[in-house]
Amino acid sequence: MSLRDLDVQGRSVQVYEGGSGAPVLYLHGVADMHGLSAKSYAFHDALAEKFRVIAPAHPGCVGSDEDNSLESIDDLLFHTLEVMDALEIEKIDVIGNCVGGWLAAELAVRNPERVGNLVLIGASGLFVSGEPIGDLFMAVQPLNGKIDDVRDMVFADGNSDLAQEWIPDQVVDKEQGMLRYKVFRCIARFGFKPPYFYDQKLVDRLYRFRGNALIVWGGNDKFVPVSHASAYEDGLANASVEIIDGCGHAVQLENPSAVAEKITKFLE
Amino acid sequence: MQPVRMFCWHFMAYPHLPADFDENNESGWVTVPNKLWDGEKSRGLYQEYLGQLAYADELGFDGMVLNEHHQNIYGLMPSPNILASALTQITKNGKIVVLGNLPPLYLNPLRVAEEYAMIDNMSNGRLIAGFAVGGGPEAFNYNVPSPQGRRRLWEAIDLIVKSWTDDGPFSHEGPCYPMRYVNIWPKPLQQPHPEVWVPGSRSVESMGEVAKRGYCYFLSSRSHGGGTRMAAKEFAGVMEEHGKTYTPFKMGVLLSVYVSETDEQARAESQEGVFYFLRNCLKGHLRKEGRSMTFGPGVPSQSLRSWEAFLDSSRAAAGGDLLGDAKDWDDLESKNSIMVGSPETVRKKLWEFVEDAKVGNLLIQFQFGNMKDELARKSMKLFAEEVMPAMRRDSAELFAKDFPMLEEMEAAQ
Repeated sequence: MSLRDLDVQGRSVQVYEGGSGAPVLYLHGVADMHGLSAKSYAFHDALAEKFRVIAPAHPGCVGSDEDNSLESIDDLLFHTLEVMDALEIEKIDVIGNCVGGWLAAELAVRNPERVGNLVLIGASGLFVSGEPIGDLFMAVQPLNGKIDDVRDMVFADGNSDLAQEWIPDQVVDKEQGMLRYKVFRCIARFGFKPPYFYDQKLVDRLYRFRGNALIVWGGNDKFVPVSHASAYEDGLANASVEIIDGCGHAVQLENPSAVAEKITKFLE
Repeated sequence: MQPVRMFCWHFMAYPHLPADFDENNESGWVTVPNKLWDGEKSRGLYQEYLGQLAYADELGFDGMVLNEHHQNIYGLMPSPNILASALTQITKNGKIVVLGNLPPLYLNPLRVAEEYAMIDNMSNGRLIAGFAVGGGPEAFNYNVPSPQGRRRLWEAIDLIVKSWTDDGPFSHEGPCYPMRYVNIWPKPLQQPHPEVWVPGSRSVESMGEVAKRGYCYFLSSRSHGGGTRMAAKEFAGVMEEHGKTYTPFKMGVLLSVYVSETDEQARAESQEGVFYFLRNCLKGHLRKEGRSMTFGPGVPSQSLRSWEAFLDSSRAAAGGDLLGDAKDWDDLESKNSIMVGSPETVRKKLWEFVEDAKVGNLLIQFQFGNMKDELARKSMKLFAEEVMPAMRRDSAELFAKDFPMLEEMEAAQ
């Protein structure tokens, strides 16, 4: 496992690389490596047994430079294309989680020639009428000093030790406080204002990606409702869905081995 | 020599909440159910509040202060410019301070430039033009991502000021507000343009932006311990870095005052209004209890550097106790946020503050929450008659001694 700083058009991007085998590009979400945590965890470790996992941190997250011109998912997409260029990646399998899943889907429809297989985990990005993506920003505003609402939105069981460990009410160490501030500041740039973590036109563009896609979702996802998994499946040309029962939006934290196993089977 | 300037600040809170509001509502902001609005009871409310501000003008205050808030019970001024325009017709002498409009919420900041120019003309040149980025609740109300707020704010301010000072039509390149034809009618009356005030909460970036343009920095903190003196020092230092001269009139603070005949009477009379304000109006904003939207992730517009400084500061270490958390009068006194007492007590406290912080613009809130009109007016009158004269006399002396360049600057005018 290694962490390095990559120069991307004058901006520094922190990149995690771990494992060996076929390379996969991992685009992170909020309750994730480079998001609320600086470290990889069981899910990435399981993937790294079979693949070389390459995971850049989005602008402003962990050690990556901020980019004040980042205002939309398109900006994040072009940034990610520049990261791929800097890494000399022509075509690669892409796994995207949460907002990173949205980014992966945008990448696959804009530049289908650069994406091999596509994996979406609890991906935001689609508008499904009557099934809104949750307001993560309101949920994370403390209620009587506690942020139960965001734990409930992200985890199937917001009271679990796992949820408390990842999203504690009181951030005691400064490093953790900064990580939280950074990832929410990053996603606020493209998800706070409408459209709220989706691109109304994405669904009609999904057909452009002709490769194979795997869609993994927590059966009890309260941030991006599970109906969005079906919407992705319907829009993509060759997609299958795996629902992990008993898990929420942070399915890759709640059941890392099951998610890693399904992805491994799909990519191998 | 110019003495300390004393302005009458109003929030225009909604005063008719049920007694059990605090128990049943998580916030006075954004999500506070507007079925609580009682139209009949509120008949005449704006007239009452505007009347208090007009009274401040009669009493000789240096000006009246309005502010912009949305979807809340804290301040019923979603459009302060409407109230400012009313004040132009019912006041004569005092400055009309709009602190401020929130340009990041608007698609086109020229609307603000135009309305301010109208107010300046309608008031015969009495406008002080404030601009603010807006807090957490405003971000939610108007879909403005906070990281972009500051960029939009400063582009808007620069564009607005340029639209006042430069002859149009000219074009503006953006990036936030590209515009082919900037050519406002009317232009403001005051030359080169009305005084500009911008609030900040001690972040280095804001101080720098305000200082390099020579505008007035309004410290938005409501607690006034040593922090205010420090902020004034910091701002003076930043102004110097930018080759500007700091004077007390380059800075303003918000204070809250209630004056009555005796200390006991002052507490007894203001108790209901003050605690209505703390418990209800600050809930959702400056209170830990309830849904606080001011310091939560994704919301503050501070840079990473400023947020790091915040995490290092004593504010974060103390668990972030906020004004609305004050348990009782003693707790309030210790925060030095609300000065309550006889004229003598308030004079003493206020003088200690001015002597220590040497800030020249005091923006003073007299009406709290559901405080009755006659009480607010009595307090203002006692303040104007028994506190203000001494403050003016003593501060003119103090400033003359500590800021000798003020004399030259006044002479130059």
